[in-house]
Amino acid sequence: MEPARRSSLPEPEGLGRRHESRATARTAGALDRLPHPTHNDRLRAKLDAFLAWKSDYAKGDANQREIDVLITTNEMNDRHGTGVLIKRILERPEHTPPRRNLFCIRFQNDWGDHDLGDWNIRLPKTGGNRVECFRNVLQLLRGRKVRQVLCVPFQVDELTASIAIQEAFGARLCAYVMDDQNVAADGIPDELMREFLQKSSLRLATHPELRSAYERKFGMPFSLLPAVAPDALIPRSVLPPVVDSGNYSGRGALLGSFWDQSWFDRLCAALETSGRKIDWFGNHRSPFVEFSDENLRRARIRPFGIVSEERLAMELRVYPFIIVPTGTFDPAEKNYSVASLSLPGRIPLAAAISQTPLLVIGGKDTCAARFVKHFGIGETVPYNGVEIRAAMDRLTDERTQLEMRGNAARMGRAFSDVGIGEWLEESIALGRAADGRFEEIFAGYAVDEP
Amino acid sequence: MPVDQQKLDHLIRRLRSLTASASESSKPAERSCDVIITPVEVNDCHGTGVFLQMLFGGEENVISIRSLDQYEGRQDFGLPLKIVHGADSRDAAFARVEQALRGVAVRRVLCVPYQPDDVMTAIAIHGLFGASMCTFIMDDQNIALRGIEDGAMRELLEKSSLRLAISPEMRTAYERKFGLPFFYVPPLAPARLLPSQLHVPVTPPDARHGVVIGNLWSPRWPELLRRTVRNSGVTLSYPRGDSLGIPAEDLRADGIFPHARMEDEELVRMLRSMWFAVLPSGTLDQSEDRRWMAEFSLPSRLVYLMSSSHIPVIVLGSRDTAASHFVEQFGIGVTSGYDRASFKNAVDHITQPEVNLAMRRRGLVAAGRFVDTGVGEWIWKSLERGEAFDRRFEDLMPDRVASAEGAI
Repeated sequence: MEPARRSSLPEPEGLGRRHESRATARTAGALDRLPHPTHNDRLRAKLDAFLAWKSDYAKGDANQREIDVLITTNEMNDRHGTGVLIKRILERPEHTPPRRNLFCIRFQNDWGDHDLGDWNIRLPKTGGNRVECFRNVLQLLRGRKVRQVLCVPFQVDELTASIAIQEAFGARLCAYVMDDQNVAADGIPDELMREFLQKSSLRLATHPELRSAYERKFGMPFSLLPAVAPDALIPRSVLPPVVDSGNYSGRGALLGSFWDQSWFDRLCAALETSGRKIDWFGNHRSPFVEFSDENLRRARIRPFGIVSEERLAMELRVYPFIIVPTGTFDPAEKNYSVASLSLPGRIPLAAAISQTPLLVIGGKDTCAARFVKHFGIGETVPYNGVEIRAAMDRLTDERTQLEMRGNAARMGRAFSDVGIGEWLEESIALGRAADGRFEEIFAGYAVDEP
Repeated sequence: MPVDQQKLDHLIRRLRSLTASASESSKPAERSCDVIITPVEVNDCHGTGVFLQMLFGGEENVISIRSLDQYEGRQDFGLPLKIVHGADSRDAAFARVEQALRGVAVRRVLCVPYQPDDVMTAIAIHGLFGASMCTFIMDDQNIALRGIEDGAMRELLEKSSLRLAISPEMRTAYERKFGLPFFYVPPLAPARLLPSQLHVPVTPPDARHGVVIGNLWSPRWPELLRRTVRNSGVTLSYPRGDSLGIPAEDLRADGIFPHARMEDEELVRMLRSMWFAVLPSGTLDQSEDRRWMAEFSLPSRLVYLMSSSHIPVIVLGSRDTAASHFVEQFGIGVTSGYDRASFKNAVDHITQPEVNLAMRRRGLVAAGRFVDTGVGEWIWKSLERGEAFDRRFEDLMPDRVASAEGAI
């Protein structure tokens, strides 16, 4: 196993579960501002990789076993959305046969720890140097039998390494697109993305808008694998409505973390005039965004930090609504690709485990807005205090509560993670979705892009 | 404790690279190359070698990879490399190719597949470098023969942006089997050997003396040839520098006269002075042991010598061979079975002055379409486009209706 080593990047605080998704997606700009790695950092990284290559798993007996490979940008753990979702999909529940040998490959350390699979390694970035990437992959895996590769593409190295394994080991490749880095963004060149998708036996996207955009651009079929929720936390019945009463009278919840200062500032300014107090569950000590006490006070936001999913489920159920900030399509929007094609995984999760109505703040054409509208589990308003306040009042209405919680209950059960690992394994083997469970969820879904 | 010197060296190299400063470990500039993959050495001893030298000889930055030594390593073409995978796993093959080509940036690959190793190497280079790939089927090793498994052949063909076949028969058979488009590129003749005027022998035709061209690939073919010529009243020169493994006196007794091996120019001069050539091919019956070659491969010598000498040709064997189709399509010869009477009829027919002259005229006209000039570049340009750059060879595809004249 790779020795645990802290990243040279500032460590995010809050070791609880369920962190904001896709750290890298939101932090690209901020990362540029951080100090460049020193010679020692580079040497240490090389030694990390070197030691991993020479460790126990390279021994003969282990070599004979068939392995599955996971390729991601950074560490898989409970502190960011991709990590949580991938772990949920690939980890087998207790008392079930263990998954085959899972080998996790990543290309950067953002979190300091990795918590999935039998082995893991960070390979050096090659910046898309194909031959070098092949060489690294061959050096690492040579002699093994690689059955399947699951790749969550975000940067060029993940795609190149996936292609290398697919080519050199004849493994079946599955592309699981969670964040767009090609259609509305330019993180991955078209040619590389096309080759990667062509070589994938199965192509997955987390939500219909993302699927539609990729299918339209590349002319290849995608299946859906949304952010599923832990079955144990999904209520078996419709929870009672929460009207302004009890300990949380008048308070709302805010869910999620911020990767761009402007998104946080924009939300604070809008909430300032909304008149409600807000409890925030998300990372409030970010190295990339300043959450000043003054801003928090003016917006009446009380930060709780990241909490475990179990606690989150219990907490969120007692609020009348959950605020989920998202992007807009204003000319000032800095994260157009995120706004246009990303669906935060916390939205289906929050609805499934709490049934609490969602208040999306942002553009009406965002994926988040479409999601809550389609399932009837919330509404969307712009970053405008008056409109936000009116929406809060509407959502706390008892009839609205009953209706939306009922909708969320029905939706939630469909997002259960029961058997999801087997579903994925079977789907990769078949080269198509093993069944229509996720297609049914999104039947009739409007995917028109803004 | 025993020390594995190889592993130790590897470890030292790794540690050096890990501890080296950025300036020390900067990578050497990569050389941009094209790779041509063939089963054996590229030289003048076989048709594929002659053809490839004709197309790409003299080009700089060509790496020539083979998997077998058939000519003691003799090669005067590109930078020669030998890569053998044997029963190694796919990833081991990739690692071997990566190591062999370290420091090189491969732009384009031309694979002439014959051995499974050739296919594996081509697939590995394509994967490693993302190089665009052209597969040129010159000999069948998949349809009439199981030299290359379907899965490997399909992968190679699917990964190729351009697929070429040496004969119309090969093209049709591969297109039908794999459902992928192929383009026809026939064997060619060097422009320097193409005469601008018709050559007619000055000796009278009643000598009934011809010349054997092409390779006698099957051990059956020499015997069939001897049986056919023996006591036919026809004699043949055999200018290949050997006697087919048969005592020369025995061959001579049959009417086949072995000659010393000739250089091409000398051979062409000889052919221009003779009335007909004989090309032994397959019978394609149940006893055929070279069906894969006779049915699908168009002998490069046939095109080469037809273009440079215009000599009419008698193809021995079945009318369904690629060679037979070719001479009948262009009206430059006839086909005869391996039986004396049929052969005598063929010789009688082909040595009639007016028939012979007409065939030579057609050979002269056809020759201009089989010139090698610029065809190497034509292949690279076609690869760039993913289809034939122009219709120069597509227009040579036959209608598949043999002329009545060809039947003897």
